[in-house]
Amino acid sequence: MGEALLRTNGLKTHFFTAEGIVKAVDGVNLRINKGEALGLVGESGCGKSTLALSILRLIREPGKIVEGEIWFEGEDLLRKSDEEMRNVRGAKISMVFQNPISSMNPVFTVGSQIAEAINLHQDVQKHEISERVVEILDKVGIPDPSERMKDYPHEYSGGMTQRAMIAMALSCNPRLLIADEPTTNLDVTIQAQILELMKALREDFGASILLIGHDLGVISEISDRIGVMYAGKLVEYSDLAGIFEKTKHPYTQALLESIPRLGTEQERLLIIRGTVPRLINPPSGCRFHPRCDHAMKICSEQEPPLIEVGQGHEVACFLYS
Amino acid sequence: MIEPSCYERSNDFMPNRLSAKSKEETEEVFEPSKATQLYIVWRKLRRSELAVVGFGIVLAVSIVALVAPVIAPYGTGMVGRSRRPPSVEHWFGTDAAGRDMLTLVLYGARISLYVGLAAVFLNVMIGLAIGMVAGYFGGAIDEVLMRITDVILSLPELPLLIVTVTFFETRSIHVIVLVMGLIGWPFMARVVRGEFLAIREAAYVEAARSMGASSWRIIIRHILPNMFSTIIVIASMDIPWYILYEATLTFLGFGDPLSNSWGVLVQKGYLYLTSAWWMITFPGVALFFTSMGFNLFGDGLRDALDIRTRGR
Amino acid sequence: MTLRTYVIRRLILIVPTFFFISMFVFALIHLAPGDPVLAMVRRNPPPPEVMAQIRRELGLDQPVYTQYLIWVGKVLRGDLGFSYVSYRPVWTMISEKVWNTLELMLVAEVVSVAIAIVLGVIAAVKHYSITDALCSLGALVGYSMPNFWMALMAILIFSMQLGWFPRYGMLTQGVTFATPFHALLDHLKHLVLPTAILVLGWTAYLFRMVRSSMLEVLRQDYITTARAKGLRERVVIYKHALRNALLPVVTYEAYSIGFLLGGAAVIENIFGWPGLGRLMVEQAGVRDYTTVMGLSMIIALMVLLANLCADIAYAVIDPRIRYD
Repeated sequence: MGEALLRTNGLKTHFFTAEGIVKAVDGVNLRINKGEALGLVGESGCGKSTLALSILRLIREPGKIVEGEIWFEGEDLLRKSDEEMRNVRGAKISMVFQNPISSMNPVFTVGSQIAEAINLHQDVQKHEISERVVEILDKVGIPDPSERMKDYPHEYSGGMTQRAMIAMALSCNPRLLIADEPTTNLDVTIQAQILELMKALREDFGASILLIGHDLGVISEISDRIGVMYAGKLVEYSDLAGIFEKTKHPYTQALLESIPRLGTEQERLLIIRGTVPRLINPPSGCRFHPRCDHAMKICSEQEPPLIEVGQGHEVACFLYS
Repeated sequence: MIEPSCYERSNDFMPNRLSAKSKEETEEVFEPSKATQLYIVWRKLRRSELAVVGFGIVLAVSIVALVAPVIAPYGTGMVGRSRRPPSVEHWFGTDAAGRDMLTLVLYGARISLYVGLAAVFLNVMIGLAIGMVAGYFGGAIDEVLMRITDVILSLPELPLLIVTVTFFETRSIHVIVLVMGLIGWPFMARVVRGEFLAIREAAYVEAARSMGASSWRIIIRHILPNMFSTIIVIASMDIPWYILYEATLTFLGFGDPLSNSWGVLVQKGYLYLTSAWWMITFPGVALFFTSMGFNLFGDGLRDALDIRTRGR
Repeated sequence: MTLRTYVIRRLILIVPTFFFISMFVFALIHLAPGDPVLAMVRRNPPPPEVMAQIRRELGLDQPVYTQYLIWVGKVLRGDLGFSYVSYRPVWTMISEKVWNTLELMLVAEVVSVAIAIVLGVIAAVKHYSITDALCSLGALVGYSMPNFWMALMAILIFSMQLGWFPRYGMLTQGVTFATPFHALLDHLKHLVLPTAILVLGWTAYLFRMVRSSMLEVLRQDYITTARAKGLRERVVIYKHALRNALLPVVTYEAYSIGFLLGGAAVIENIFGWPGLGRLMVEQAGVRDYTTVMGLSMIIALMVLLANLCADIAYAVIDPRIRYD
């Protein structure tokens, strides 16, 4: 296992709403190694986006990071001052969001928004900034960058906007790029292109990537390791081989089985019975136990800890402890 | 579109990863019952204390208007010495003709409320008709109607009311209501048209149409009920405007001096601004209070129903 | 489409809109029941021959469309007719008063916009705080109060009781001022109360708009992106959020003419301010048919111009609108 670039320790982010406390992230130990791409998979509402925002401390009212530590480059991000965090955002850790069209400010040109990031974090002369913008737009595959940088976001297509967002995120050479469902809102063909782009850029920039999504197939295209989240908790964590061939957690198994395979005869599509729990009142003990075929008595009483079951393979399940 | 065979395969209606999308679509096609919707709105309203206060005020004023003859301490005729300041016998004092101000203010609620409600009612009727026609037929009809709407909409309302009222010979409260109804519909028409077009595109309308429902039926059963909440919100926010407009028109001399609305009371009291301040203060407070109540309620209603329009 | 093309297209639109408005004003007045000539001369009815002559002059003996065309033709040439009540050309009556109203409206507008934007942004940023609650409540109060009543109360308290401000007019009459500066000071004192009432109402209205618009914008994805870039919160709010939030507000500014003119009608009347509002109320009161029509067209023109400015301002701020 490589050296850790970012590590969360018992991270808990809760939302204090009128209906109750939503425990979106409830004690997650995540680990992203240097130069590696970690894919974080889970269904909608499992807390993966909240986790991403928590890392950058972008959680707003009524949410709050209530507990835990986030270790990055030897420091706990949760202890940093606002000003120090601002130096981290965009410069050391950047983020790309799910809906590219709405993630860019419609009243400013694409070029100016990228330039803003560069101007903020880097010691670059004014006249050089435009060159840098053109350079980075070119790297992400925007045709005719010196002209396109003067365009407004609504003049770009969905795929192009996402490329521009990636350009903006990488413009200051971050150590970690967080991509929250970057391809979910795009056409399948564009999806493939963006994924290819991210793979290539990873080589170029040497950044680590945290890729978040709900489609295991898409995520595994880029990732070296995969983390599976369920109802605010990390349930399995391993490299690709570990997840796909030596699957341990019942939820991960069910996820893999429910993907229909070409070439095999299937009478019935396999489903995971039950529904995703509401995070205001999650099930007791292991959160997956109401839907788990292997549930035991202890599963409804205690929460399974995340333990290592193989080489860099961790699972949170009483079947293994 | 999801193939029907998918539904055949999974026997229990549990969400299936492959047909997960279809579940969301299904949820869009089924609208929750009206009773459920009303209940949700009621709960949201209750949570906003201001909306509750507003509702309380509106209710109080309505009740006052209804039972004015019963709760008023005196009749509306001359009952005391003229221009007496507030006292134990006359809480709000007396006016120039020796009438009890409190009684007059209580009775005034009837007229002012009537004006507000009737004018808005007219607005809704006309606006609904025009908005739906424009939305339904589209094309040239829509263009022309909307141009007319925009023109009237951009003109200042009070001067427009003044101009229109002037050229009517009669000064009757009903004429004023009529004029306000005729001038104020453009906003409602715009909103109705917008809602109509938006709802027409919605999934459940398409579903109804695919099941063979006629246009008329679709309009009555699906589109109209869903416009209801927006219309109610806008109507409740318009009512105070019309109450105030009537008062202003009357104050400026264009109203019905026989109607004894709050505006008439202020107009008559204007002459005695310094000598009998109570003649304008109390009707004015009544106007303010009522207007505030409706505004609070309308705001709360809008937040509860989550209406987003280019509203006042 | 460039900004220039948009502006040109927009300017061209003025022509049909103007005709629509003129038709509307004309229709309004001619549809109303009652004989205009009789109404005008009710006070001292002249002999029938003179009445017939007036009728001919006003073109009332001709079919409606001819009347309309004649009237529009005159309006376009700047001839707004002759007031048979005051025996003066309408244009003169208007032009001597228009600046007074404009002064009132402009001052009220500038002050309102400044206060509304500042408070609106603060309230939106501090959503759910006491500041927000107080401002919103204050706005609701200002919005619900009948302006004529507010004016009267203000006069009672600040003018009559406390004597801080004068009761009527634009300038104290019958007094010689030591210097023009003293005259200006006196004028400003006269300006305070009328403007204050207008400002209270309009600021309340605008504040609600700014606040709700700002709240909407602050919820958007691109605001999160801006924060994720590491920008200071102040930059996020005043650069990224505000510009987007002001878009609907600019549209609303077009309605400001309507609101302020209506307010002016009342305020000018109460404070004896010699402006268009008071003119309209007075002349409408005496059935001065021609003056009221002329005034309507002037007001309509002001509204047209205001809408034009608002549309252009919008196009300048929002690049999306030019690409239709």
